[in-house]
Amino acid sequence: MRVLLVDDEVEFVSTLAERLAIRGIEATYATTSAEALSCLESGDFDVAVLDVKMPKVGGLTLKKELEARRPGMKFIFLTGYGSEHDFKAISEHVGTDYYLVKPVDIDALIAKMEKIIKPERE
Amino acid sequence: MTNGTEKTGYANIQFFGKMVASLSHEIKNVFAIIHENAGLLEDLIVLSEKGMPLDPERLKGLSKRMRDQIIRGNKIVQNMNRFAHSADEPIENIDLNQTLQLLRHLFERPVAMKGIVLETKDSENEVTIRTNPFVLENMLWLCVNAAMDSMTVSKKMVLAGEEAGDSARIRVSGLDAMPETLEANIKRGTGEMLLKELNGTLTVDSKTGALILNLPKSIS
Repeated sequence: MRVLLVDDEVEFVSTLAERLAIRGIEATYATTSAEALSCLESGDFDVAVLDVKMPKVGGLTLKKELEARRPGMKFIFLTGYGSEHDFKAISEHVGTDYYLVKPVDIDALIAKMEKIIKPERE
Repeated sequence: MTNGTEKTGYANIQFFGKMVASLSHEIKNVFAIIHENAGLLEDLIVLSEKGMPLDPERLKGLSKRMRDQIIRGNKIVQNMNRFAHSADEPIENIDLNQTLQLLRHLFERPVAMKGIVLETKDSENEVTIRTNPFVLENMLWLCVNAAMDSMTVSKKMVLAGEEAGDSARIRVSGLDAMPETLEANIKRGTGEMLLKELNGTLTVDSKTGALILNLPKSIS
């Protein structure tokens, strides 16, 4: 599984990438939407994990741009939001199956990524 | 029909809510980073139990990263606390430099979301005014929010306070696209009422690309 992680908090995203690597998951990270798009030049990704709120271009907009370039790519969204109100607002856009609230449980993230790229196993 | 005071009160609550939501979002990011670093620490311990050597320098680095985030979180909470207490008194003496520095921290994230860096420029001499601190903060948010939409090329906004005879001025500069309706846009809704509470005036300086909030030294 190849994963693209995008979050403007470099320490968060780099550490998460290292933890995924320890678990045998190849993870590349970017801290801006522009960086994320240039990551596509180095290869394809099965799933992109995107922060919803980022400077200039947020995760929801980035999804559209990534999707246009790589139609088969799957997406999971991360956010610092935590209230019921915020959860409803975001899940209206992306669906509750594709959404995690920070801090993220790494096992829950991996389970979601596996589920999203291999839905036939359900 | 809603009267002016009710409108201003509601606008102040909305402003307070927006700032608290922004700060709490930032605190969640701090927690998320600490969480990942603690998780990585656990991962390394598990690996060491399986025979992989544990590098003390790596552990020191992780410990420092967590400590740095705690310092960052503590700073956010301190600013949140100062902001909350700014609503304690309807009229108070405030140091403009200190107020603008607090606002830089408060507005940093929402401004950064538009790709803009917010800075403050301290006045050479201390400028103290007697005003309603919370209403002033709200008014400056309206100015900063409108200024963000008036920045097309420029990516740096500067807040600066200065003495101006019997009054004081706060400049919000860095604007490069100033529509004729800018002043009216800010005053529309609650801006006009907030200005009235501050006994202040708002002017647009197209030449220097700045919004200027003129305030009396004392409103009491």
